[in-house]
Amino acid sequence: MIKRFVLKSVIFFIPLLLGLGCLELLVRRIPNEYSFKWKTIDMRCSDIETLVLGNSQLFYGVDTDVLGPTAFNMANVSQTLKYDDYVVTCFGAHLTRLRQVILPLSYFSLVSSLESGDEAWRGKNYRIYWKHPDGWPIQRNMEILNGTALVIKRIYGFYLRGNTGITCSATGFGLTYRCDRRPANWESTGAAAARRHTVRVHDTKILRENVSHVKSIIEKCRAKGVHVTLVLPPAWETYAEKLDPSQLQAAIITGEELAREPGVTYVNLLQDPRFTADDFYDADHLNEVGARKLARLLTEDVTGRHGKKLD
Amino acid sequence: MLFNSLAFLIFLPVVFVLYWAVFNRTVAWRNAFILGISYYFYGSWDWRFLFLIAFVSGVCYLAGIKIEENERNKPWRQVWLTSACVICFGLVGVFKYFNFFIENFVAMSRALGCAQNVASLHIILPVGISFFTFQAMSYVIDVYRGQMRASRDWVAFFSYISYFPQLVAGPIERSTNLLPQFGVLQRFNYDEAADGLRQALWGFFKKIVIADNCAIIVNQVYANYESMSSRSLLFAAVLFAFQIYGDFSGYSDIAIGCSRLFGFRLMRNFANPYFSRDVAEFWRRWHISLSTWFRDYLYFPLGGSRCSRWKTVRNVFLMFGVSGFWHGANWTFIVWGLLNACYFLPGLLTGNNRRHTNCVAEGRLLPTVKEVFLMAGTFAATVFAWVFFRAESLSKAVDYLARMLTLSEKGTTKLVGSLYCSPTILLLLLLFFISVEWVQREKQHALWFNCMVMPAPIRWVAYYVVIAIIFAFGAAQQTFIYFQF
Repeated sequence: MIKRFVLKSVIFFIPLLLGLGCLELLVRRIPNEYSFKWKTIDMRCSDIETLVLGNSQLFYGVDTDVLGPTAFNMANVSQTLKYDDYVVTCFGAHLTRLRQVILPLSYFSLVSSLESGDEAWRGKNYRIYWKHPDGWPIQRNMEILNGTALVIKRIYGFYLRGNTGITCSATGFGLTYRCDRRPANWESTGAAAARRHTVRVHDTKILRENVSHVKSIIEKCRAKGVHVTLVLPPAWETYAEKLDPSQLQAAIITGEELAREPGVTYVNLLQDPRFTADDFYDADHLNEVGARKLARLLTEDVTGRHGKKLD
Repeated sequence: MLFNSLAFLIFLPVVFVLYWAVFNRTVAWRNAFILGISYYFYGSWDWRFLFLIAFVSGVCYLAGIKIEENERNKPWRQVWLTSACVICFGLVGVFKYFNFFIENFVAMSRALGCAQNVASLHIILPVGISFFTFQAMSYVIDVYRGQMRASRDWVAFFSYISYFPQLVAGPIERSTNLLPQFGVLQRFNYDEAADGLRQALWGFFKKIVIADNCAIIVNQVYANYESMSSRSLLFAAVLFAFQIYGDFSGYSDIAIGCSRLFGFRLMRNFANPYFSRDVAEFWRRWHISLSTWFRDYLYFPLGGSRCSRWKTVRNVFLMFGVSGFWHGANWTFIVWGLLNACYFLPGLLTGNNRRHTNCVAEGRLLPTVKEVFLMAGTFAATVFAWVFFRAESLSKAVDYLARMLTLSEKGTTKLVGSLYCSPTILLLLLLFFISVEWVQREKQHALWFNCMVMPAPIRWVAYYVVIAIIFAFGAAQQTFIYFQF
């Protein structure tokens, strides 16, 4: 009786497993931002002078296109300092012309961990396309275990409609947060974003790990004579005013302390008057106009220190 | 370990094969195995709370034996019963309600002008504490009442308290139903196991497709309700009704279905509550294991409805108020409970609370116009009450309702679903869900088929369709709402 049940169950599930296996193979063949960026930096690492790391605030917020082909934006949505450190570890030795690394110390950077948040599903991109050694939990190893619906949509989009998942420019800058696509209620997104970025219970382990990743990036850069620009990115008042003062203060103090090290600059642009309403896509992200402005501003700062223009 | 996680999908077949192939030879081996895997299942959240569940099991096991031993010594029986109650409810009180009482005490002191500085504690709520303590208490009370013999097999008893399919979110089993099943060796029943899988599959559909997709829009609206139009607020309020139903009844279906794979029958927890024609019927169909727990162990001992009118009113308010408070340490839950008491009372006092004990439109495909109106009215009242259940505070709930009922078009009307399930697709999925539940409303669960009548290929196509929908439209993994209770 039980043998019959097991046999029938296996027969029932075999087509399902085969189907899922096919989906996995198909979806991995689709180019995406992670695979594109990894391949690009690998090919061009001897040309890159300015490297932008970090989360969506710099992915959409630093237009590396205006800095020329020697700049590259390696930031991704929800990317944490752990993966920024990983990039520097993997490519540090090969980035022979590197002069500046731009790293966000956003309001949430030091207290967030990709693995424990709502965005944990993005972890598979680092495992599959960046060969990050972290293979646990098992979901990190397969696309289909992170939203089969999305996989089906991507397969349909690529194989039947010719869409890739790449939404960045050749220099890695995110192209979708544009003025003409700005949501009508962009200002009101601030409160929700601030709430999302504020941690309720401070996890000191995550904080320690993140600070050690920043320090590790700084040390590796200093060893190569590369300048590190830590930036608290610009945000609109509806976001900035809703931030938890203690979490914000901790981020600023850490940034200022790290900037005491030689070769490190800390730039706090949270409510910088140079960024106006026209520069924002939503309350915590710049649009392409603001991104051009921020790219120039952050590199000019280094230009002043090093006495040589980057672009 | 969540039911809707990959870990559970690996855990279940492994446990199933080990159970039937290796351990189901003697009762003792089988129970020891169930105890081990149940503790592993619970410990995967936080192993420290295993001591808590073991402690509750130990206290109630001992209390049961002592109550039975003192059969002719009523004061001692009462001492053991009271001790077990104080310890079990005390633990729930500390873990779940300590901060609530402290915060309210401080607020009240401030209101009276004598400021108090009492620090609240950072207490982690053990998953499912309200479920397993209530299940343990039902045993002690049943032994005290003489409805149940005290268990002398501690492994069986500990397995009964920690039985993994229903450990963290019910159904809250009665000792009279579940505990005797740990005393006999189960035989594998093909039809039971196959139907259990079908029931679990429908549970996954309810949780992953219905509840989790509704949650995306509901969370969005409740987080920003000040900037939403009345239409959006109403839409989210209705969606929350389906979210909580899909979430909780989905869990129950998975629990009951998985349990049937191991030969254990758990009680039914939901019986299509949104097809109820009045609130009394709704409460006979919603979270049946908890409603009947409060009825048997609180309402009836207080006199139920067989006492003076005033006492009946008091009993109803007490039962619903406590039931609301059981859900969480927040005034919103208490108001939700009391509101339901207000809905329930008129029927009870006029003797109309048992008008609808059968299934709606029994033997017919479609309901009458009157039945449609009755169901819609009951559903509307329920949706209204759910706003209190979902809101973060009483003031926010009242504000939400006020904005919803002003019928203002000001504010956001465009809601964003998940990447693969827009609000329109979600409405179509809800339509599919309601249709299937309606057609199958007289069955134990929505995927119940008469295998003698329906050929296997058609059944398999139906299963593949449900699985395909889960894969195509399933939302990202979210925890079950009732875990927090």
